[in-house]
Amino acid sequence: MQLSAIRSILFCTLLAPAWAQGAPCGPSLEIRSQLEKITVIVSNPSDFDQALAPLVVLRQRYPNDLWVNERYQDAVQQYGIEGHLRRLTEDYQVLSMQHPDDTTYSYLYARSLMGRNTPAATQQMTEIVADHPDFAPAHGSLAEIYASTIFHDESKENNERERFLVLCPAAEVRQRPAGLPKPSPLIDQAENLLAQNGDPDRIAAIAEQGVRDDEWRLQRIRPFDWYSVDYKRQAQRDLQAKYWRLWSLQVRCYRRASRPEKATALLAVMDQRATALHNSSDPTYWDALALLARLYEEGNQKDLAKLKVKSMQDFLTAHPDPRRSAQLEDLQKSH
Amino acid sequence: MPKPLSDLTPDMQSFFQNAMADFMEIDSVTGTMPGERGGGLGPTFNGNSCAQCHAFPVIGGSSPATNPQVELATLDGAMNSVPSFITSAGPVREVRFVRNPDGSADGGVHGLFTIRGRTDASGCDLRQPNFAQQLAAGNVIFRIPTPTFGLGLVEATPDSTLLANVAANRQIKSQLGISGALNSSGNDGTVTRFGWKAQNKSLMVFAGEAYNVEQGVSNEAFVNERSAVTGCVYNGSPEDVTKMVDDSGSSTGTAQQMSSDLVNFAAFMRLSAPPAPAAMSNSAANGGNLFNSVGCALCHTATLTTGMSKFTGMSNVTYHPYSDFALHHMGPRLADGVSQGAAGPDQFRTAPLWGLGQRLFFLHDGRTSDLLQAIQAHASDCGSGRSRFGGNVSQSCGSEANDVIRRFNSLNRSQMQDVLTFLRSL
Repeated sequence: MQLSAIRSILFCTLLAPAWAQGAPCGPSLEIRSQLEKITVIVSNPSDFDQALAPLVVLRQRYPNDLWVNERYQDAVQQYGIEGHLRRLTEDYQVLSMQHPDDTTYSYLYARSLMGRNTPAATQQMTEIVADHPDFAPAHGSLAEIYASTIFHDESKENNERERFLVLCPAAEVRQRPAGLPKPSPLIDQAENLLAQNGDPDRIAAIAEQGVRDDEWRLQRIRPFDWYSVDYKRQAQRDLQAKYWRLWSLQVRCYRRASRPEKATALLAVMDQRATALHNSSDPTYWDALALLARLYEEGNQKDLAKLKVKSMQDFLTAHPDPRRSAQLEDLQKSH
Repeated sequence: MPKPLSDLTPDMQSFFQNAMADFMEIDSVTGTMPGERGGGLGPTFNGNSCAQCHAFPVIGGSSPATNPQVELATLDGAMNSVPSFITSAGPVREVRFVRNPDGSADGGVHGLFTIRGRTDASGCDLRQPNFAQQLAAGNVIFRIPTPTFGLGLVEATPDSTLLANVAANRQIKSQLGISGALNSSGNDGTVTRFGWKAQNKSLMVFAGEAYNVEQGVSNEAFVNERSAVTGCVYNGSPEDVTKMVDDSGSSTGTAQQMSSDLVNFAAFMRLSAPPAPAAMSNSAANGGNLFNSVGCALCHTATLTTGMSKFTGMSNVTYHPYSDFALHHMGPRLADGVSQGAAGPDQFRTAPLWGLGQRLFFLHDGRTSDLLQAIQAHASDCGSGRSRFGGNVSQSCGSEANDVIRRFNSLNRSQMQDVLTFLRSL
């Protein structure tokens, strides 16, 4: 080989971006072995920093490695809340500005936008593949985006998937968004335990954990544009309904545990909350009234129960609904 | 319930009523708590609703008789302790620290509470400041909520009117040691007029700052979250925005429905009627005359007139705020050591006295519920020339109100009572 040709190869190798130096379809053996050692489990949101610490260390050790950065991004997206997610995007934006000629950083910045501002991520990824058609990860990411429910585009998905698999035949297109935690079954369990005369303190603790789990689930939905506005709204309404179930469980537990003063105080707060819903279009208002009527009745607070029933009648007059009329009739019969 | 200005069109009245509902909206961290449907509370906060603190005698007013901050400390599982200066029978308060730990000027609001422990804030471990330590170091000052009634008229008053009013009666003011200057915007040089130190330019800025500082809700005027500790930020910023799609999913709602909370808060204040004075008794009428002759009215200007306004019924309106909206040196006794814009450590905006008869707590920090004590606190001699915050509090050192209070103190008991009766009638 001529000296000039060797020089040319050396020059190209030195200038080549990180992804082109290694295998663009997967991590090197060294990185793979490092990544395999790390398991990120965030069982409590406050453990976030601690749980991600090994990945942060690895990223410091291999700051330019695509796969280490991808794994770090995935962990933040999976376990972070708004502040973490915002910082992630800002970090990668700064890196892409510091390395304007490095496709890896442009790609990583675009990737950090996936699920947060997916249209912007799509645009940036599209520009990347236009300039670098052999940059496989961007094709993979575009395929992921177009395969998602909300940004679904079958023909683009197939096109990007095909180009990705040509470049990386053994690779897989991942599903976006990653799976959500299921709605917590703990409130149901707590209600069953209450029906079986379980320990009131334990029941209340289980129910509270159930709501916390669902708050966390909502945090996996709210910050991401993988989910529609309607879906987010429904998830929020479902959670609000669980709060009412939690509080009614707590009232009943307090009564079982002979702490009527606590039950009364909580009922007063619930009553205030129901009042605050009165002028809103919140559909939980009716359910809140029904629940309060029942709880007052159970506590032998007949006058307060009657007041709630009266509020329900007023609501029905303003918003006629046969299903609710039947519900009110049942309630009145039970009184 | 507060009333809108009487001459508003039906559409504006409707806007006012609906904006009031926003003013009453209770915020939780992410809007998931039933009955607390607003989102964005915290990470630090002093209240969870405008109407919680602007509550008495009706929504939009000032501190209620029972301080809601006591219960708020632990609402929804929050793990705050109630600082010693927050009591059930005391006023709603915000806290400012005078100095930073390095001795430089602070003056900013430090939220009483954090969202730590709330069920809708899993993972946030932000702690309250050490208020006891700051109190012991003499580094804490308080402010109470200002009433918001009639503020559209104040906003609609031209700078020229306020400047002319401050310049009026120069000779007698000078003889009594009264100077006074309007605070101004560092951006456009126009007069600022809202807040205890007249630090805010407009009702929009006033509402935007309060929403961010008191409730922790970032908004279109104050875009960035305060105390944005990473594990405690749950919402995108700004948390309150103009709605492209309203709560029902429509993009064609009314102006009020599509507006941000911030716009609605400002509209509620702008369109609210000023406090209605009580019928004037003989004692009150006599007190009113004494109020003028003693010199109180030199700063507590009885009458101002608005300029041309876009809003129906707000142009060229004569109103009675009993304030010149100017800053005055009040001496070491009232000095709080905080500078805001042109307002120095002992300078305060002349507090508007309209509606005074229906307020429970007086002076910027709510230190007294006794009107006579509040009047007497206006007097403050230079003394050693140093305030408890260190350094000279002003070049003139004493209060500009000293001579006026001397004249007030020379009144006989019955005359003083007449002045109090007059003030309570406002």
